[in-house]
Amino acid sequence: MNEFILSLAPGWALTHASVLLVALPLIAGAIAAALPWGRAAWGVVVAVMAASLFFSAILTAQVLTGGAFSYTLGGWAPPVGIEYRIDGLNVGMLLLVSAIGFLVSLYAPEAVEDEIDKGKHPLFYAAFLICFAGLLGVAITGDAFNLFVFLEISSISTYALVAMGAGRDRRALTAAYNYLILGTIGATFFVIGVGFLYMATGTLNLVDLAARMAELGDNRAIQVGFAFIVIGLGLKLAMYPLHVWLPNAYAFAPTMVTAFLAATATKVAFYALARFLFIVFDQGFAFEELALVWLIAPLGAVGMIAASIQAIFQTDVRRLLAYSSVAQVGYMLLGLGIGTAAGVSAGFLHLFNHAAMKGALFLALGAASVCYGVTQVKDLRGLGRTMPWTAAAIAIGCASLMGVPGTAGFVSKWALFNAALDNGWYWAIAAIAAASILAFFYVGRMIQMIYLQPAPERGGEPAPALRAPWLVMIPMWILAAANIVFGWYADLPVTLANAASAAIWGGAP
Amino acid sequence: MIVEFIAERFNYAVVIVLMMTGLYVLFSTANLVKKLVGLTVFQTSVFLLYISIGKVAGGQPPILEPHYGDGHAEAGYEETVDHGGDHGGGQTGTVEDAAEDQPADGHAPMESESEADPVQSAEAAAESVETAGPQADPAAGAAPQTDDPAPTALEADSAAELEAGIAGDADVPQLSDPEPDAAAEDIAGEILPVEDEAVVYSNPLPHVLILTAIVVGVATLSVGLALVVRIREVYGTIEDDAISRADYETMAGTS
Repeated sequence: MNEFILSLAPGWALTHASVLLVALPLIAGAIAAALPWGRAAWGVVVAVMAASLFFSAILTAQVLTGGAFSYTLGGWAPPVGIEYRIDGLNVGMLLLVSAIGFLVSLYAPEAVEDEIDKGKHPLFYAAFLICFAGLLGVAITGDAFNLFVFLEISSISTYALVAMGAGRDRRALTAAYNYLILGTIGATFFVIGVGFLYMATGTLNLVDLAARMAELGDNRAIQVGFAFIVIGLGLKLAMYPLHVWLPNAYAFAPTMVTAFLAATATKVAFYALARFLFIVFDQGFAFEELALVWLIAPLGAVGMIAASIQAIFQTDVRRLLAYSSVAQVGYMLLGLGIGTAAGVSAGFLHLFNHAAMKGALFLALGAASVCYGVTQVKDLRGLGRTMPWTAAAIAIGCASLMGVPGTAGFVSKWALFNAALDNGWYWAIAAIAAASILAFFYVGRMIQMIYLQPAPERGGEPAPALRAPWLVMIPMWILAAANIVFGWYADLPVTLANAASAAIWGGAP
Repeated sequence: MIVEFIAERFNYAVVIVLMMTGLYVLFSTANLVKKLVGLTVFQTSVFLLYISIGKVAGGQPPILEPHYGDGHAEAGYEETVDHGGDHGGGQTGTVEDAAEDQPADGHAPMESESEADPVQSAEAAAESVETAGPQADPAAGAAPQTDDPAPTALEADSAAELEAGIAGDADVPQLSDPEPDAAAEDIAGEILPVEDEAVVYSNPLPHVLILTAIVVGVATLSVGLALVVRIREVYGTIEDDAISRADYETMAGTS
């Protein structure tokens, strides 16, 4: 498979894929903003997403066959110049972001037509492209300050994207505003942390930072930098007590934006945290182990349970799934907190699988929203009869969310379970089990509404059965099918997750 | 004792005060515009932190001396070393020339590496500044040093910088100013090393980083204000509690 992808790629793509991956959507964003027609802008988006997916596939094949490599921008050798560093840890993220971006962009025209003013379509697509470029930039860059800039590029465009949901529900505006305030605090904390590391080492290149900090050993500036970076990225990735911006932003954003963000944005921040925790900061630091055992893992476990309980009591269906997202981030953080190769690998495996679940669920809910205006849990009544295909996709996503054997969610929870068992962390196993049972309750409410309640009558007649448009059905079912396929043949996500832990601890990718 | 401790770290004290003020405003006010003001103050404190990191004791603004050649920093460096050797007594003239010519066109990138041990030299500079008081700038400049912000060099940096700042002839914004103004010229004239003409520059990298961070900050602020404008249009208020009440009423109304 890898050789096949590499044989398809032309020479220029092999050498410059990494920089094109970021530059292309950024430039296309400017073009899309200048186009007068929404449909033309959408064409640009789909073309760019397809190209990005291709470039990511090339990079994945290159890393899986040849190991990590770096691209020096402008020919300035690192650490003086900025480098893009592609290794096992971030190549999976690149592939994930561009794959989700491509699938979501297919779904876009129907939903955008329904939810956003016609005149704003080109601007919406432009913001989407810039957000996409920013997320890829965060994942690919090997420079700490560059990472901050890309983090803000993606975040600022995300604020605009979330606010575009105001056409349907005005609360999107306040959600976007609160997200802006907290997101900016998070990014500023991150940049303060980077400042402290720069103070201590005099470099911003991540590889160089790691080497110099290992030489310097423990000191106060590094400790303070560590604290600021963990908190800053914790805000961005919705670590449990820092998650308050997320539910409203996901609930009121346009459906397409929610699907994209839920599957990518917090994941990319999670990746950045993993890179700082395990690669940039030397694992020998005493404070690092303390942070993993006493901060990251417990907060992950608390988040899993507390956010699941909150999810049970939500009436808005996307808000319910947003709380569930916070809980799932808890699983991933628990994987990081375990701190072994198996734990981190399980965390990343859950990251990929969660992207597939939430991508499928939010796209399906978007379809239901386009056809029947579904926003509340009670609106889902009878969806099993009125929209059987969409309802089936929701059911598959829900099963995977609970971790039913045979779905992707089971594979990653099982991996996490084993990693915790190896460490003798029985409390973590109890937390995983408890959170899965709680998931049964909030997911059960949705399933019960969909299949066990009669459809509401419209104008005295039962609501007609509707099929979502093809461009909605295809991406939704690709993601739903991924949940089943990865439940049986988990090759792709397992390879990528193992490559991630191999990038940290060495070994074959 | 404690006053001295704070005075030596004046910049950092200001950073902390600004940061806490910003966060306090952000969390205490219900007015959406005031929240953004708090956010901006908070971000500004970080700009100040970075600029403080970049200051090198006795360093001049990172602008290449014109007589170092036409923008080729390394070649120019060797040239001036020769020059210094040839005309043993003529340094003062060169220094004055440099100070006069400085505003002309020297904006080329410069080489910031040097063989001198940054830690030692920076400490030495700081000591000399401290003992001789604010008038000791030429002495500080006499010690050849680099701008590599090693951890110990930093404390010395800030101490020396403080002296300069209190004396009133060099504060942080002036040093970060890319256009050499009168004050910066003054400093350059005073502190240009007399013995070997190795010029000490402040570290330019934090300035560049902060320029980027300022752009990010402005973008955030403008998006935030745009959101506030839209909120005002839709809700008719920019007070957080009034907005929550309006949302609660609509929710109660629909369900």
